[in-house]
Amino acid sequence: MSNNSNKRRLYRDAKEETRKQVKIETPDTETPSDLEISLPKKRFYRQRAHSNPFSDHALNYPINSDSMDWKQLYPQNYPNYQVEIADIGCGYGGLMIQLGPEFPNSLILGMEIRQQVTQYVEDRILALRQMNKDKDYKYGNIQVLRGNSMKFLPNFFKRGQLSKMFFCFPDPHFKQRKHKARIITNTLLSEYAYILKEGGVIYTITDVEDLHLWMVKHLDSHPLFERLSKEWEQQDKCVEIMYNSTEEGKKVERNNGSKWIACYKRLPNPDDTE
Amino acid sequence: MKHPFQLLTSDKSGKYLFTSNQNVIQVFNFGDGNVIGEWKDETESGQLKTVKNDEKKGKAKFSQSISNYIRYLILDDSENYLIACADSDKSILIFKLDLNASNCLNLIKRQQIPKRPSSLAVQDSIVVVADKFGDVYSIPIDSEISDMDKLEPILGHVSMLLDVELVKSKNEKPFIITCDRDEHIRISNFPKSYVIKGYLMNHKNFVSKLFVPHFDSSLLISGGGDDYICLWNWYNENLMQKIDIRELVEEYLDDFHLPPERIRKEQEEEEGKLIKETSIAQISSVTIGEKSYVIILIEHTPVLLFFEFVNNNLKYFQILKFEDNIVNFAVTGDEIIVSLDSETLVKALKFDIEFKIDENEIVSRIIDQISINTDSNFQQLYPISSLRKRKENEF
Repeated sequence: MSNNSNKRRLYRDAKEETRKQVKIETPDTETPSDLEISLPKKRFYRQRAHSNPFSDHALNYPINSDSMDWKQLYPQNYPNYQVEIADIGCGYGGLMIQLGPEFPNSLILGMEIRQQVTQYVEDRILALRQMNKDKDYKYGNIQVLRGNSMKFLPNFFKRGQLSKMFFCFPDPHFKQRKHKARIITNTLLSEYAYILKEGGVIYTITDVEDLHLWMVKHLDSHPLFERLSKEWEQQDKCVEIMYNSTEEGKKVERNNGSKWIACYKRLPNPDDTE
Repeated sequence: MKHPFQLLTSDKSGKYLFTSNQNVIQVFNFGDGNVIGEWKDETESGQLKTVKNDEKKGKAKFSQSISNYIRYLILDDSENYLIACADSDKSILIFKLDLNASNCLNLIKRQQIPKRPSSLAVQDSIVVVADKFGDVYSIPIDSEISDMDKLEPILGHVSMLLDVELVKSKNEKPFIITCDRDEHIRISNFPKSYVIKGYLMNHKNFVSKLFVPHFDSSLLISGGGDDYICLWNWYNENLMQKIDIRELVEEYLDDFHLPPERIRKEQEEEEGKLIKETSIAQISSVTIGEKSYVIILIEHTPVLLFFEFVNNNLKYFQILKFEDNIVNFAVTGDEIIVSLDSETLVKALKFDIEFKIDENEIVSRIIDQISINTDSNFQQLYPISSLRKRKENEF
């Protein structure tokens, strides 16, 4: 193990200790204890950008959505603990941190397949909660879970539970052979349609034009989705946040790259289906 | 020695026995034991070779030969067609049955699909094929052969699909049920399969078999790598019963059921002992008079488990032991025909207070006419246990 990766591991271990302490000592209270928690440093958590969605990762997920204990994840009291907004492949969590205060009464969940990146977001949220414990908005409605969204969304969410799903700068999986590994495919869209409520919205953004065209093609041809207009995009707060706030989005900006957006509304099921 | 039948199936009345033995399909008249149809897959396959994993990559070392097998044999509702899968070129075979011809099997269609099929179902002249890549294709019996590259999946899981069923609700609405290696059972509308109705989730391991009993099509029995099977009302998405099977078969488990060598040490350290694993190989049912029984086969065991269906529940009824491992079985009317991995090859069961082995001449005639002789090992007769997920190393 190189000196550097050793240093990164030690840093993450120390953060994990803090995380455990907060969870064990103050599982249900609104404010974490008096522990000093600093914002985590991203460079200690970096991980390669790709993950194989087909492999059997050692993941934790509930046997079904009824077995999920959301109270463990969200410290403040929420009327029904129903996650409404999901950021699929949330990366370093930039989008959620902006969405959180925008929708203070909705629970927002980020899902990320890479372990260290998930830990970073977890530590980041812990630190934000600690730093804002005396403010009106305390970041209590955002949380992250490690998971494979392409396999296990129905383990977490019920039919029609979500009102918004975000797919920001997903892995382009350029090779033809790997296209089924893309996060938007005809067959996966049926699963997203299942957990989205009627009128719910799928947001997509990417800096890879080819991937954008692929996502548009698949969403256009899916009978349960209809593209929202440019005018709609312009007035939607989430589009603006998505365009400006994610880490990937900012990186693209720095490199003077382009960003493509496509948003789709969940249509009602046909009358002859159940 | 003769190769045991890897698959048996029958028509509703139990007049005919459809079998597959390596790459040969044979049809027997169950009245006299005569062969009335035979078909051999002569296709050469580019893939019929021994696959060996790369040891250098540090992955599990095993070798598996892919042979030219016929997998899956089903009859359509009208019993005019027999549908099968051929390993050689990953194709679906559709035979028109002509029971008056000298050979009743008339191949009318051979449709290749892109990935290896893992199960199939048929309803109202439409065949659906689930594959190991997680996709389901729909193939109408009467349509022209489609260009393989133009086939579009009608639904898909990001997982290996292991079984598929076409069913109808009480008001005759069709649905398609699929199950996968990641514990899911999904119910979708059919043919509008892009509308998912719901999921049945209570398995902790892969789900290898789905069974909708003919005596009540609102029920579904599912099983796989768990110690239990589940009885569901699939339409209401309601788990009615979880039935433990481990206790019943524990004494019939052997070294085959141990986890693979590479994880034994770890398991012994963690659990203090090695845990034998059960995998459901087949689920079926038989009706005798007014009573219905569900039959369960655990892979690589010499026993059939019988459960009586009473008051919407499965009640343990009987365990019947054979002299060797059971490969497959078929219900022919009120009898059960069992394929054995031994010199005995086939046994018949009859019901008389309980299920009993019935020595009959027709079975001997059938055995005499088995055409495949082989000295190879029969490892491929037991493919299900290898589906179990093992933790992969994290990167």
